[in-house]
Amino acid sequence: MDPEEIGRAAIKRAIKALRRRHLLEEGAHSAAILALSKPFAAQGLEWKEKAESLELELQQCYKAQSRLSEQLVVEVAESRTMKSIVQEKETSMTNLQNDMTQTREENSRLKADLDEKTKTVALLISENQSLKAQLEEVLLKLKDTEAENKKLIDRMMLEKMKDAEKLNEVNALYEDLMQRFKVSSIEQLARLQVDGVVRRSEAGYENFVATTVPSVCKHTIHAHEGGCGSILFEHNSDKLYSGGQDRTVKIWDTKTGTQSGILRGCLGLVLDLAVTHDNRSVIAASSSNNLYVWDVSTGRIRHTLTGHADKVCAVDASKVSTRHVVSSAYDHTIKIWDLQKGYCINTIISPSNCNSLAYSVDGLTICSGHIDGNLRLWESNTGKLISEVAAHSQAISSISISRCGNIVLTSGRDNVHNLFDMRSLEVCGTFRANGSRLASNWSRSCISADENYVASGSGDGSVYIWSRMKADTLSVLEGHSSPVLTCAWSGLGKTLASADKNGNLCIWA
Amino acid sequence: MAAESPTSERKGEKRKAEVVVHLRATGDAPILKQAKFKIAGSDKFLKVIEFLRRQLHRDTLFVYVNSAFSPSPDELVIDLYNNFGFDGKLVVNYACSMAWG
Amino acid sequence: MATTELCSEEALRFIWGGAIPLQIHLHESEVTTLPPPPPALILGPRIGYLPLLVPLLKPYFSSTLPPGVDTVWFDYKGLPLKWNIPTGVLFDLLCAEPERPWNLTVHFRGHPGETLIPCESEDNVKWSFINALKEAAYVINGNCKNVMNLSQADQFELWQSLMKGNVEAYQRIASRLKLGPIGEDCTLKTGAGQPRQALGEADTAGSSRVGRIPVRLYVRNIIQDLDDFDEATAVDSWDSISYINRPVEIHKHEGHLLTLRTALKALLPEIFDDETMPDNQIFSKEEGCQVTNPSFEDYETPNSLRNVETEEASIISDSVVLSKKPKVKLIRIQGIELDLSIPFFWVVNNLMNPDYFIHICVFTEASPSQVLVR
Repeated sequence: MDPEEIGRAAIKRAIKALRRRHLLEEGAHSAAILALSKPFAAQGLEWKEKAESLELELQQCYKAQSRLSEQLVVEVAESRTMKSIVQEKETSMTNLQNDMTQTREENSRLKADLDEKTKTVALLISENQSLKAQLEEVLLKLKDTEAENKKLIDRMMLEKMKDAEKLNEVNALYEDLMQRFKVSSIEQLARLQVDGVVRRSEAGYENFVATTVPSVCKHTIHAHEGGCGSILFEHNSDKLYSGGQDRTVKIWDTKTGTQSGILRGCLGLVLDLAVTHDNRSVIAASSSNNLYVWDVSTGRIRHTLTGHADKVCAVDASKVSTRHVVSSAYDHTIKIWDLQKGYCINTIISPSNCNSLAYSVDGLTICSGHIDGNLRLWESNTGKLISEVAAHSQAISSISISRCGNIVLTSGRDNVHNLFDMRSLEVCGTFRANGSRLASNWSRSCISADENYVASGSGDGSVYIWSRMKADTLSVLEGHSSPVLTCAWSGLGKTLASADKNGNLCIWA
Repeated sequence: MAAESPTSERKGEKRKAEVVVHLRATGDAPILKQAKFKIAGSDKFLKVIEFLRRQLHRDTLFVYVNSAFSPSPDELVIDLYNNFGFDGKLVVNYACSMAWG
Repeated sequence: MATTELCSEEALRFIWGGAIPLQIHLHESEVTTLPPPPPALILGPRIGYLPLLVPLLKPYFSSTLPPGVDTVWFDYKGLPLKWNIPTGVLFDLLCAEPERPWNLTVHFRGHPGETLIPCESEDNVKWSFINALKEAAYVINGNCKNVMNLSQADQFELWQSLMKGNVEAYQRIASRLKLGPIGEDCTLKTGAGQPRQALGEADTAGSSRVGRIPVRLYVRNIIQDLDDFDEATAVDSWDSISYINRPVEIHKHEGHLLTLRTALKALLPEIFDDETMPDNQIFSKEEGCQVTNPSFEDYETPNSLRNVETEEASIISDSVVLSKKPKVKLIRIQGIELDLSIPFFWVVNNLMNPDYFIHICVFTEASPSQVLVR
């Protein structure tokens, strides 16, 4: 065996062994290890980068976390406040809901009310409409009445013009008469002085005139619509007052027969009239339970005397004092008034209603005629009954006292007229006539100023006049067309006036 | 395979053999009072190094053979002597800083 | 004389490219994270040194290390590994039966200063390498002027070529050292002379006539009489391994081929005895084996092992009783087992390490009573 050959083979085997070693060691593992290690290296960098980025992220996360925690704190606080607000709101909501339910109930109630009210409103509207219609009707009526009123005013104006003309005529006549009267009075004075005797010195002689029985109707005047129940002459004057159913008092000049004035304001029928002795005031008794006092000079009401409880049917004024007035009403009372004070100063209660009354001349006594037919005398200061006389079988309708005051004329529904002596209260004359019938409870008769004649209106429209001296002499004045209610004799003696149920006045001379 | 051959020496005397080590200072290293030592051939070179360290009180020490190279501390002194010794001794140089690359 | 290649390109490539797959674990005392890091898988070049792997390992494990100063060292089954021995030699020596990947443990703390020289940096490794190179140069040439005359740049480049496994760069620098290759006609100079003598010879006769080959021998005794290396106990101390540095002296000798066998006989006469193991006898046996069993050529290491065993068995059969010498179980150079008949010049030219040493691992088998020859 060649050792070189052997050596070469050994070298070959050695190289083979090296190859095997290579295959077993690095050859077998290098690929895997490289694959592992390369990523390691790469991963190292990658991881570093990753770590850095992650650290950055972490920092950002921390920041974000801190921010979030701050936010959280803020939001927790906010949420707390919100919660409290919510609670408040809830409570307020419940309150509001309660309120709402209450208001709803109220609302429903109010609705019901509203319905009722609308119904009532509808009703009221219909009522209103009907009222409107009525109003229109009334307005129409008003227009009509206004038109009528205008017509009436026109007529009245015409009448007034006529009256004025008449008044002028009367004035002229009066002046004429006055001149003539002056002449005749001078003649009479001369005659009296010739007689050498001045009669009846206690009476105002210059006013005294002998009464003559009238025979002619000088004037017939339609004075009051519906009748004239009361007439009265002014003291010592020809001026006549008349009061009637038309609630007015008119003033007349009996010489001319013209109206010289009118007194308005009375609310009821004028049942009786009186004049104070100074002629300044006129008193009217009214069915409206009042008395009215006018100032003649101005034509205005001075007083309205109230106190009676029924219609006032008689009034008289004192012939001494200007203050005292007596009145009687159908309430069984007689009242004495003070005109200065304007109220009642004394009230007399009588058992029977008084139809007529009169002051005595001295003013201390009041004579009253009653429905029971008695004549009673009263003390005017105290109201005490002085005496009582059964004057008529039926109710007394009129009492009048003569100018000198000694004689009292009473007229009764028994159609008898009695004269009583004021001092003895004895009958000193009785007058009656066939056909002479009193027309009402308040038919007024009268006695002439010289006490010689008695006049009374009758239901047959005539005026009967009796003479005291010559009891059988009787004159009958005919001129009225309806029952005569009252008559009055002028103080001057010449003129007699009468009034009837139609309101007509007759002036007799 | 003569009697004087190292083989016979190896075979018979090696275990007991002692090697004379001549220590020489190099550079700024301090010189030892005694430069020559006997050391068992079966000892490692590390023993020489540690001996020098002890003597010089230094931790860092560079030890060379024949001013040429530093052998591995594991090498046996007898091997070093057989390979690099002459005149019946092994010359060991020591320095405090690196002397020969 | 038939020409045999002085240097095999292929072999050189395998030597330089050779690398051991390593699976490196971090020692459990230094694990501070849960779970512990997986082991690092790394190829460790056979001609390289373990500390050169640190730059790869450190970043891998740094995240789990406890705080402190690092002093890196490795162990295999509790044996601290000498870093100045090339990685491939450690593997061949400590892993009787190759373990792939090789499981090592790395330590960054607790350096065992008693048994191990500390390696603080790559410079220490370089210093160790350069000194080994100088020692080899001294063995070859009787001086190391060529190495010492290298410029710093060249020295650096030489070192870099080793680290990077760059054969061309290495050869470019190494050729200037004029340390080889040796011719095939070199033969063992019978009876190595006195060192001084040898030196003097080298100086006078010239390098062409007489040469010395630097060899590092690692002799490990497998105590147990076991068939399988797997069951061999691990090395527990470096003291159980003989570390022998002996050069092989060669002379130009026409017509005589120096084999590995003769080289080993010269190196370890205690084991390889001329009388018990005559060249021819072994050669003939080997040849016989090779001839009779050509089909086993491709067989792996165990095959050749068996060859050796059979050889040993035959030795035992006729001579073990006569001499109480330990039996050679295995010879491993660069991870391979070689025919003892291989020409030694080829082994020197192709299987040497870059430090110009031939590292030879020898496994011997001895009965427990036997003491390893020193």
